[in-house]
Amino acid sequence: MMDNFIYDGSFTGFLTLIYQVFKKKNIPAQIIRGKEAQLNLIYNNITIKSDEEKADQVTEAIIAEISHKAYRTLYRAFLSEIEGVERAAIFYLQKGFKRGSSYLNSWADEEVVFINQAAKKVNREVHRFKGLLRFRMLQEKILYAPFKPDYNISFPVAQHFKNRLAGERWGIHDKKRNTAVIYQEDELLIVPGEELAEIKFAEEEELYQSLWQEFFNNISIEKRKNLKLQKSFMPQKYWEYLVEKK
Amino acid sequence: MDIEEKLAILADSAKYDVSCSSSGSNRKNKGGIGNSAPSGICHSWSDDGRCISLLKILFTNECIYDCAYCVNRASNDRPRATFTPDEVARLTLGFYKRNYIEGLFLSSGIKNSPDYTMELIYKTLYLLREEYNFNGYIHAKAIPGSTLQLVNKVGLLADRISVNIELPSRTSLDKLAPQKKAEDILKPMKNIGDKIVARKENKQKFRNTPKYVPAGHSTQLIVGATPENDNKIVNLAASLYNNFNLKRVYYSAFMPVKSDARLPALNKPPLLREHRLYQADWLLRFYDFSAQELFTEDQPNLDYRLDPKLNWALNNLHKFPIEINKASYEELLRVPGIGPRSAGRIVAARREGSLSYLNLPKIGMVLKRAKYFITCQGKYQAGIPFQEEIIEDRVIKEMGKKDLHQTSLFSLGELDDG
Ligand code: SF4
Repeated sequence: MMDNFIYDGSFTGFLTLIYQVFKKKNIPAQIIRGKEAQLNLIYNNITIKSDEEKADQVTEAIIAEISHKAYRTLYRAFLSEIEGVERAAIFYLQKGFKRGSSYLNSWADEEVVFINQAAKKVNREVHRFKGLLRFRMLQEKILYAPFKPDYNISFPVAQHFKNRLAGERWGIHDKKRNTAVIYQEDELLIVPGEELAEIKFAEEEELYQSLWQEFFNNISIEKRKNLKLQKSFMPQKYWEYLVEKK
Repeated sequence: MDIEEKLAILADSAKYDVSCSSSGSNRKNKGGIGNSAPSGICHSWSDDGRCISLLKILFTNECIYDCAYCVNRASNDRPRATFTPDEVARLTLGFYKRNYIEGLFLSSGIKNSPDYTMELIYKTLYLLREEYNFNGYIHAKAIPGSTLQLVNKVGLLADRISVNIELPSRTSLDKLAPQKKAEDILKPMKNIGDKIVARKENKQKFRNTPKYVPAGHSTQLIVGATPENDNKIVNLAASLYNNFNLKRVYYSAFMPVKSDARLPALNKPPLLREHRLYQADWLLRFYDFSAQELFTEDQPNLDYRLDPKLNWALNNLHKFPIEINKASYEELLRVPGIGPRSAGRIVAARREGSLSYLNLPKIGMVLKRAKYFITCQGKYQAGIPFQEEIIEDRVIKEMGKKDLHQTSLFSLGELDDG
């Protein structure tokens, strides 16, 4: 009898799912994220409840038996939300647990390729937004950055700013998934977008935006103009929140 | 004059300096604002496709010198402005908080005297580091002719210092920048290089040795304003890396800003030549090439049709094809289309078993160009005979016009694989 696993879409939920798979030696037919699955005559629907403790156990096992790198890569790949990533992760771990850290060097292995590529896409976007994210100063002296990333990267992006903007109050808002990461007293909190207060910009905000536009327009060399090149580095899909491209 | 106007003038005046790298430093945020990412980050790309990482401005463009190639030369009629240290500091912080920039690149024309200007740069950095507790990236210019002591004070606050040589020979310098002496440029460069080495040695003995330009020092050479050939330029770069401990040499295609009998009349900057020089420079720094290998007596310039590594391989075809499963890391690096990343992966992957031709793309290797120069499990799979003219013909055709427009032109922050 094959089962469908349903989980809440969080990384903790996913690790709990992994726990079930390996404890019960039960590889699901389908893994369904978030929403309630339709009842199905052939498969049994099993809902996985996120469990921090089980998730931690899985984390420790991955780090101890495979490597830290495997864990990181898996996490980043997971954030891609690419179709099939959970199933690939199961086989990746299965082989990883068997062969240890050297498994990651089998560059031709189907799951290694899949997970690496997904992680790479996520890493690339994280790196991009370390540069392209734009904060706006709000009346409450909070820095607020809206963006629409392809992947679910608010958390790793926020981690980049944790030390950098340690003395400020700030938040990052994924407008596509409507979730936010808020920095408060040295901690990062994930909150649903609905819980954010109304956005009101500080008075100085306009001045800084126009100073930045002024700088942007003056730094380019006319005789070297190359808008195609510019677009290839800074695709149009990111322009919506770019102060210099509004 | 309000700050917006000053910014417009002093950003416009700074744009010909090509360096914008923010990499190589690892300053931590200690109870203030900012830190620096060792790998460098681009925050935007200007309309000319160049990475914007730093707030790149001049402190002043009211310059008393009259260097022939420079927009800011005293005899050029253009708007002039000068910031105050506090204006620069507040701009930097305001931009940094909003994540527009990685930090500041502060250069300057020479107002009143070299030391007067250098002192203002020092004050600005002092303000940022000590008063505002700013730990983001700072690249400062050392003004030729200022006292070394002042340069060193700046070095203790900056992540990078640069002194621009601009012209690749003494003769050209005398001719086009008569007020600058070659010694005014070379002395501070040597001093900075020595300090960096001394600091490294001290650091092994004393843990609390203060940082001194942790991201190193760099310079810029203008290409095409003077008659020096590529051989001379690349050799100069190599000797700067070797003798002065330089981190980077930047090349800037010459663009006439004001007609001058001492300068060639170009209607377009020699961008392709600049691009090839950057590629040659990569070969020096990451591929273990020496300058001599890239030129011959009757070919003192790079072949602008081909990237220099490919060109070298075609001229040294007797060293190829090499066997992927046997070649050393160093040999792999010499294959066109294989960069440090692919070479590393090949070496790691073949420990797990012999690599077949079909495995290569799976480990992320691009075969398009490399296939002409390798064998895999003893087989040559390029589909053509291994003969110089045929390979050369094929490669040039395949590149078509594409390579000439390749985006790597300004992607200086990243290692391009190949
Ligand atoms: S000293 Fe510098 S700013 Fe002044 S003219 Fe010469 S190159 Fe230009």
